[in-house]
Amino acid sequence: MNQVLVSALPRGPIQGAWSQLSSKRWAAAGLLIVVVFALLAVLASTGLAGTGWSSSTAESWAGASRAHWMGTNRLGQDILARAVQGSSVAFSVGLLVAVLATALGAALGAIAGWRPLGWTDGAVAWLMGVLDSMPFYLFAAALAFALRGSPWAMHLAMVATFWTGTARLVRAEVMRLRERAFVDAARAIGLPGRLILWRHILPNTAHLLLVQATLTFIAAIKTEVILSFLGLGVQDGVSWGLMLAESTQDVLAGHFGNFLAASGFLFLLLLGVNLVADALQEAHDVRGAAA
Amino acid sequence: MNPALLQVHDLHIEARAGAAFRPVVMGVDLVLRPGEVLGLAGESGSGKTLTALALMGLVSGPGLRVRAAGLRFGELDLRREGEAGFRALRGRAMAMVFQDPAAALDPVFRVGGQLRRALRNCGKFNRASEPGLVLAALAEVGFSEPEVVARAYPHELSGGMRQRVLVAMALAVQPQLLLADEPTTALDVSARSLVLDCLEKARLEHGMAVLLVSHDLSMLARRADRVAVMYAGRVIEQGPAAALLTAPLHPYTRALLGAVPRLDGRPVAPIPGRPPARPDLAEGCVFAPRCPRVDGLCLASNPSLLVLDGRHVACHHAP
Repeated sequence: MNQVLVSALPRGPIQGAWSQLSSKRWAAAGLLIVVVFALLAVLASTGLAGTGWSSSTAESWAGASRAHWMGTNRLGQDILARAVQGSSVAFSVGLLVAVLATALGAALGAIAGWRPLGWTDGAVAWLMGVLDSMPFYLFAAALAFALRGSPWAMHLAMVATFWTGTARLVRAEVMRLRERAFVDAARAIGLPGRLILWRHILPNTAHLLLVQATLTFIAAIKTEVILSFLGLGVQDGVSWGLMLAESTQDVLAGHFGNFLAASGFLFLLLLGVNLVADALQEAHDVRGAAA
Repeated sequence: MNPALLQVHDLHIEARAGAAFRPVVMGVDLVLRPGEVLGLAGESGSGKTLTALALMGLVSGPGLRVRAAGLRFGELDLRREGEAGFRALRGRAMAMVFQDPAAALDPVFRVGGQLRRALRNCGKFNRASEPGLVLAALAEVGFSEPEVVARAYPHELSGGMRQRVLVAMALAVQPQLLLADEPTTALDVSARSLVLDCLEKARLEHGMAVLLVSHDLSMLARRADRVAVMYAGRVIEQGPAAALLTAPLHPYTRALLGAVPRLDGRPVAPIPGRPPARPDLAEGCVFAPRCPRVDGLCLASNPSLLVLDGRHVACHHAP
């Protein structure tokens, strides 16, 4: 019988995304940047790169040299090592917040969209309204004080507020998907509603979640830097935000090492993730794709 | 005679139009016995699909209302059991083949996985036997390479292949009752007879009853034991397939047969006019405005379903 399979078509959502991604040179460049940063982050956190970021062995504000590629700061610490360590912090915060906030948004959005205008929908809508109406940095500061400077305060502040956008998107998508025939078909094979929601409807929002996760990753990294700059983020450790805070004094004294390293690293990583996010968004643009 | 497997008495379905509910299916009575094939015929919009969905308990939502004077599956009173009763039957004792095969499969999972899920859910087989059963079910509906199909995503299959996958999925759980909503519309002629043969086989092997919803009268003539013809939300004629389709009693059935193109050169006779927009408001017979035999009685009163030699017909002029 007619068994010809169209093998040229992308096989699944992930493979489809990958084939789109690799076909775009800019996206590939972005992916390369992200992979390099991820490697740096892993190496830094395992003590294989960026070692000696806290030891002040050299003189203050030394210029670029063979020993210190980007010079040293006021305390004589190697700026490059500190920037590399900072990427580890940025990456771990970004990843953690992106995964948790996206999961939370997916779960609450799905619950809200499954019974539109029901009491669960109302409760989630109320919660989103409350969270969205709070000024974020005030909320982060309040949490930091409430948790007495716990290093997790900024994670909590971000996860607690960043999920709302994802939840709104997932809610709308679930409302659309629940009218589809395969949901009726799933009910016809006897699946209870709860299982249909988790097994059939939520997996169909995977493309949205992937894009939302990358966007949340970007937002989390930026927010970590800003919070650390303000003194509400990383307390004892190193962060691009702390380096930028230091550089406000360095720059007045004519030393740009901290400023260039931190903003350069931040810019490169955000550029890379943005390129990837753009390509993912394009790959999953419903209007462009033939079902 | 076998006790009835499915008994539907006075089924009504109403759909919301603005603030009010309007009836779209009115007073349908159906009886299905084990191993019987009941054809449900009628033109688009006559309420065939909604009736089938209501029998699965799948007509739900704020826009639709179902009520029936009687709805029994075997010993089970589905009117009393409600959704819990339907859930116990769906995917085990009852299965359905949907009209639109492209939409009825979940696009993000492989076909084999979805079949396995249906098997797992029916609870009739142990886990170890599932992969074999999946391949057997696919082979049953005529796939010569079931392994390849099982690994495919729905969008990699043609419409006809998806339709056969749905049939395989419905038959795999060995239901007592299969509701097949236009199961062959998307298929070419050879695949069509293959799918219908599969249904036939399941019916002979374990006495599966089939409600075959179709507008294809010649197919129903060959494949159904009895045929019920629906018009504007009502069953207007019901009887043994052969008798009903060779000697129709209702003018609508006759007109429907006349509108089927044939190879013997007889001209196709389309039915003049259209089905009424508000059949619930009609005072007389719903078919009266289009009927060649209409008279004053037809316009004044709606004929009830008469029993004539084991056939039911709703016409003042029958036979």
